[in-house]
Amino acid sequence: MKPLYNSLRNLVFGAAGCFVAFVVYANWEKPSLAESLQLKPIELRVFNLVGAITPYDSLRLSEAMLVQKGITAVCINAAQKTLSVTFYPDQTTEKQLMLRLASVKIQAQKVDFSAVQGPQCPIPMQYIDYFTNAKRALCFRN
Amino acid sequence: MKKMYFSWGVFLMAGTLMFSACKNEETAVPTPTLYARLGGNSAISAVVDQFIANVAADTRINAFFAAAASDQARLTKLRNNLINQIGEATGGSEKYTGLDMKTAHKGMKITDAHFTALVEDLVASLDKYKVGNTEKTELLTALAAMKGDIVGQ
Repeated sequence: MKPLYNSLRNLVFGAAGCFVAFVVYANWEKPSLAESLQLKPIELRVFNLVGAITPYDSLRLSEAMLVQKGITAVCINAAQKTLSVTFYPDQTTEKQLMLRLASVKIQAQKVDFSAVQGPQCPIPMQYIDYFTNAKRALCFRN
Repeated sequence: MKKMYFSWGVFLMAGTLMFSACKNEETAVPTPTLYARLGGNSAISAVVDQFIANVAADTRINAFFAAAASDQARLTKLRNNLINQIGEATGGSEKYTGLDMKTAHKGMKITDAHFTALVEDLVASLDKYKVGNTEKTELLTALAAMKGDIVGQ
């Protein structure tokens, strides 16, 4: 019974010590610039444009995109025939972007980056997110 | 008599010191940091969003960002790290807390051509927001110092 009690006590003290160390770490430095700005999250969509894209097409497409609410940045790469858009997901959707493209009669196909074989981080994002969210929650310097 | 002259001398010296201490010193006006001259927080985040869009549309290098482009959480992390890094490199008070450049780019086999393409996309985003040549050069110089840790890893 006593060894079990000692083990349990050591475990509790160890966990409490780790928690206190984590709280100290979370408050060691001022929150980063991006955290202090409290920016809304953005989404990114990239499209391959079908057919030749003239400067006039680029202009029309740019104007059509920029009037869409929630778009934060647009890039039309006429040479490589790609369009990329960053937007706030709570203000606009991919479907609305496609409608904008259709309104200027430009055909486009969404690029599926999950199929692209680029460098991959071996650590699942969920673990990193859990750690950074816990650190942000325990930071009292906000 | 000597004592009187001595007292007057001390009195005059004290008066001279006192009145010269009251003189208005011209205080040097601190030069605004590059961070402030770029436009501060909102300007940097707008430039970063545009930079991300430019890179995503650039088929020379967008494959390197495939993981971020396909996952909103990774995209947010990339965006935040870019904002923090540019903010710190330009004299902002906040710190960049991401991985160092060598570790972050290890194994990617990034070449000079890839790096040049990235710089072109960054310059395009700065030009979009009409960042002045002086500020643009200063920012690119600050970030160019990282090239050795990014290329050839």
